[in-house]
Amino acid sequence: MTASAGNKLETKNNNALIKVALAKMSEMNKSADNLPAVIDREKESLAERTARFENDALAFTSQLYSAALRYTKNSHDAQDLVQDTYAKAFTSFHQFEPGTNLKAWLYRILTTTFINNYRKDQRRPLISGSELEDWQIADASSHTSDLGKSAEDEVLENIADKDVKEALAAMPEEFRMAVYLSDVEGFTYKEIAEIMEVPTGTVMSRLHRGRKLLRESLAAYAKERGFSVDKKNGGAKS
Amino acid sequence: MSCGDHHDTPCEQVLPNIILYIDHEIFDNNQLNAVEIHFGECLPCKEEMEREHAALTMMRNLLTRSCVEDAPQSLHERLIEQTAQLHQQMAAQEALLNGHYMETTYTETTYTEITIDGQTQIEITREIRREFPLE
Repeated sequence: MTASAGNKLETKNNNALIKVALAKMSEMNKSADNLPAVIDREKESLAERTARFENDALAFTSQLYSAALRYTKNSHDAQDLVQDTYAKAFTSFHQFEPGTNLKAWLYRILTTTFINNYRKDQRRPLISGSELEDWQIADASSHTSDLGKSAEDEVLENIADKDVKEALAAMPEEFRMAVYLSDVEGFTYKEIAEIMEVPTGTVMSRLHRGRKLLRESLAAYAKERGFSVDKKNGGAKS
Repeated sequence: MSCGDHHDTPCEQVLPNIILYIDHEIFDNNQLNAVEIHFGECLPCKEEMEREHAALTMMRNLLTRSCVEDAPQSLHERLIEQTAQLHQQMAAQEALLNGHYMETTYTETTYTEITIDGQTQIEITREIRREFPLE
């Protein structure tokens, strides 16, 4: 291959690359209209920020209220907690970085506000670290785990909403929050760690122990309510 | 306890990670691949994972069904009102910082003459009113 042919080839390749880049750019321009406007917080007026708060943040009212009900265990405190949360959120909304996780940000305010102002006995020590850290998924170290019996699952499905709420309410606060944030709200371990301001390892132990507790307690409710596991179906488990 | 068969990743290493696998919390690709390859080779582990997954899904459905509630209308109204009030307070503060306000000083002088001992009393009260422009 001669030097000139090599250059020609290179030019041809460059042209192809430019074409691809141009196509990509025009594609980006086309979709630009569908993208949310980039918010420049420096230039945003108070009125604009308030409008954004009403649109974006207040949309989570029912979700935050549901969580607040599980935290405070009564509607009156739950409503006050949500109101306090939104007051704090509004006054620090200029610090919230648009485009990041607004829901997690609101849950973090909700959770800290609850812990600092609403917890019935604020001096109650949190569950000791050692008790939590000794947790291991040791229960799952063999194939014969007692979790996940299919017949039991069918029984649990018949449990009333009231019993589920009671079972959750009876759980220690740290477990209850971790289970709620993960299994109802779908937050990741990392997000829950940020919301509860604890290390991810602690979230894992609280979540797994919380799920186990809840499951046991729901099974007890089912037994009490007279739904018993059918012995014939019980043989289906391995 | 393992299933007795040989696997590149033994059951003892996979079983404790089942929950992390179900929760999509295994971020290391090599580890994720190893776990998935193991499920392909080891039926007892795969069944364990599926049981665990079904149990967790059932629990999540139960919780969501029971715990997701609508906020009362009165709460929605309180929040809109609160936001408007806080907005006004912040607008006032902002205007104060920027000097965007009208200041009027009202001065009131009271002059009292008590005739018996010939004493006079003068009282001056001053009130400053600030008016902020409405947005």
